[in-house]
Amino acid sequence: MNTGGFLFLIASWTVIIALNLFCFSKLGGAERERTQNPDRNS
Amino acid sequence: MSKRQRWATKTGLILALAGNAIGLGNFLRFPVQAAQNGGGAFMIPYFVALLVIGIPLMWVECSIGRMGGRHGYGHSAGMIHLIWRHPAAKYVGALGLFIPFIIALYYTYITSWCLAFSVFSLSGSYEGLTTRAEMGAFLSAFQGIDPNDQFGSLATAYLAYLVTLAFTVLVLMGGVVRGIERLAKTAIPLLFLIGFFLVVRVLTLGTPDPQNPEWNVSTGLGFVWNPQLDSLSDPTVWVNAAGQIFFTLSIGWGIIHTYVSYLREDDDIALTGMSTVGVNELAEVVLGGTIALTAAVAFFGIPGTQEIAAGGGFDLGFQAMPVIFQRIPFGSIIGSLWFLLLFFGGITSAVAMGQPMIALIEESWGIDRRRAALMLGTVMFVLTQPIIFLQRHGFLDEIDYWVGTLALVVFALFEVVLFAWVFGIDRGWREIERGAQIRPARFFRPVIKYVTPGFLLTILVWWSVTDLPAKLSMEGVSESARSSVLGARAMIVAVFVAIALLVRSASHTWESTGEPR
Repeated sequence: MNTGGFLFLIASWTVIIALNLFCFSKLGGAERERTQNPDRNS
Repeated sequence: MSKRQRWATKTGLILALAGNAIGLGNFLRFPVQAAQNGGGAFMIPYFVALLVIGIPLMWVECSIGRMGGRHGYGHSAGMIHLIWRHPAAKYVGALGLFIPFIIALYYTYITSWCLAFSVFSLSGSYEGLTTRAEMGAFLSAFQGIDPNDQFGSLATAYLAYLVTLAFTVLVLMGGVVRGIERLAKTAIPLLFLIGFFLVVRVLTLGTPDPQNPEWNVSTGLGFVWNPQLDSLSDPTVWVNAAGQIFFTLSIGWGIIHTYVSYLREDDDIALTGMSTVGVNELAEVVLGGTIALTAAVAFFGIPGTQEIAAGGGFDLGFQAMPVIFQRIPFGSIIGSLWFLLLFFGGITSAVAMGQPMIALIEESWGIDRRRAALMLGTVMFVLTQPIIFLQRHGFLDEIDYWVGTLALVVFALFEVVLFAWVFGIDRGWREIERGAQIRPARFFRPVIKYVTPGFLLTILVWWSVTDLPAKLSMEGVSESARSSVLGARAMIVAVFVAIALLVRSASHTWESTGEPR
């Protein structure tokens, strides 16, 4: 694998892992809020 | 009518949506597409397509689905009728029932091959078949295309199909929470566990054949990822990237609509849709982009792998990979895990394909889901027979082209135009933002209105010019296969007409529905 390939691989993985971290941290936050305020979401 | 089913948890819905999206294509189609369309450079049009087609259509379908659920519709026929008050709307929406139903016929069969090969790998059925040609003969005999000493008939493939179909029906009988959600919560984490294990195993293969030192993991990763930037000026690369995004996210099928219809009216869809995209991409780019082709280069070299890639994803998954497994320690277990990974990807998608039709039957005629699932399973079983027995004459490939490739884009184009132009982008955008746990970037508003339909139209025109004439005139189809190909086309038309009639009959109960809330 050349440098370009390595950079494309790392960049693609980073974008996707960052997207997952962003989404699941938001989901976790929303879930915590839901369990702390169960009435709001019942 | 019974109370509408609801997902038990948000995670369950995301895993079910991801299970629908993640399929064999993530592991077999994506790496081949990347390698054949510019390597790492393919990721530029791929991510552009994700931004202008994938995420917007995911949100559009989620919006239509949640709106439909609010009005008691779990299928796209009712949903499209809701956003476009025209007598033809239900027939456009019927595409979202027709597409998953007909693809489920052959997808369930293909998924059953993964189950069978997982068992074959453990039991050593293909042990000693150390070349791709021998494995190709093994696969052909198993499929009944070219029987040999190992498989004199289709019996084994048929048994695997029956087990897979029965499992699919059982899951559908369990309903949204106890069937689909429970399967997704088990299968998707297991798929990732196996996937990451296989990634580590492939990355530690080193140089398996000391006599060919250039056949190694680094060369393998380079085969998939080294960028050929000049490929970006080739329009085919852009169309292929858009096509890959389409298939991988399972948009344009009518399934996302159904799954999301089981949300409550103010539940978030923006973050749900985005999370689904994220999980699917993790499976596709990180796992799919690393496992199969990298291993193939390490064992067959670049010319050998190019030959495999030219043969398509099935050659890679079912011929090349079993040969590789026989050359590494604990290969039978690792091989079994590989096919189990494909099976988990396949079965969660096959189940998803059945649910829209279950929703139509349940909601329109008050038939309970167990009976609806049994009815669906019976019809699927009958209609899959020509697919199984005429596979050698191109029956399956023909259906896959018209429905699994073309119809998806047609349906997606219809729905995005109806959503943005008929229902209206202002109302549509408010629907996307309703209950959102993230703020959808406003950049997507004009994208949904102009760019997504334009991109889809371009793909359709491109295919119409490059593929359609040859396909219509049956170019390259042998004389003996022509009747089978015509039979496949007749079946496609007959199934669509039958579903359209069902939808017409069901629509008599819809007319009293007021304006979308």
